Amino acid sequence: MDFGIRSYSLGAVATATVQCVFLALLYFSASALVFENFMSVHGDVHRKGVTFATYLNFKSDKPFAYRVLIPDIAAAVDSALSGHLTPGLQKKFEHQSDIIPKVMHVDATHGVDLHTSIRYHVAYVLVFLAIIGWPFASRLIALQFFPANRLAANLLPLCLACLAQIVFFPSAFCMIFRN
Amino acid sequence: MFLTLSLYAVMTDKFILLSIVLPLAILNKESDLIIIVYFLAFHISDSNRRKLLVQTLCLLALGGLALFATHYQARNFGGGIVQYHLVENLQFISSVSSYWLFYQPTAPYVFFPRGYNLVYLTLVVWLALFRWTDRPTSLRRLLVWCSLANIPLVLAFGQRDEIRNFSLVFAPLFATACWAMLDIYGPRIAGKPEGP
Repeated sequence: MDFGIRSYSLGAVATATVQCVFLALLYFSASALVFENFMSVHGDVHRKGVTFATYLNFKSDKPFAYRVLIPDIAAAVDSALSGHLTPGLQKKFEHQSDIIPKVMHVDATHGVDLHTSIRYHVAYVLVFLAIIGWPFASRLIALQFFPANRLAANLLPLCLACLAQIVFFPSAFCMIFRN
Repeated sequence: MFLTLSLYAVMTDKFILLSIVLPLAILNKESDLIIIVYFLAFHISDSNRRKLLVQTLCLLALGGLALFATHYQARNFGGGIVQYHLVENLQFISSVSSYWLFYQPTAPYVFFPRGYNLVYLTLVVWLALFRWTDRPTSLRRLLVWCSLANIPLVLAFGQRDEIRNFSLVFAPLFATACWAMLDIYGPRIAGKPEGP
């Protein structure tokens, strides 16, 4: 039966480019879902116990205090930036940023202190980069097992990200501490 | 990401990449010292013993330095070094009902098994043990050694069935899943062989 479908073939470079774009979009979407779930649990600065604010301001008790990489980078960026911000940018960090009401759960009219806000924004981006870096790193491992089947190597990290979305980040953390 | 990237560096023998990732991973979370176990699981049987010894000592020095830096920075902070939950965890795993729990992480009435649910345990045990003797020795060592390191940590310091505490084994399990898929589907998933 003829459906009138004609097949086209792309050149090697065009095919690779299209695949890269699709792969980046897929990983970006999956990472954004995982990230959203992660931040909905851990991102609130007013949550009881260890919060992003205590973590980034070096006020966590041990053993959480031993996690120093992101707080140190955020503190370095904070000390480099905070004295050189224009009033407009300063206001944005304190009151108008999109993530202040959405993720930090801070009333935008009252705002948040400048240092915490800058550190939080830096950590926010770094955590997302780490999460999107995860499927790319997983893909590198998968390619070691089936180097000739890039499709399988590309899709396996997505399975991992979907499982993480359901299992890893909400996990029992929500169940134990929700109430 | 750090654990997965380090496992890739170990599998492909990229020692410089591993040397960069290891201290960053430990600064991010001190239990990532397990990366040295990844390295040893893959290279313990290398014939060049001198190179193995030097590389292991380098990793131990880098890891130790990063670990010391984290503990030094947190030396005046409150709280104990760890939080013990051993008794609570033993009570939890000794209860039959712990293996049949569900929760709704994504939407109301859309149930998913919780961490120690038999659905997950069966899948993980199958994935871990499927055709065990046919697997490459390095993969078997990796899974056994990491499990031996991770399970006691989870029992002592984890929170009941909070399975993100098994994160030290996630990258080895992913590698195991890749191997299992290759073994089950064979040429269909391996793809066409590279040219001569």
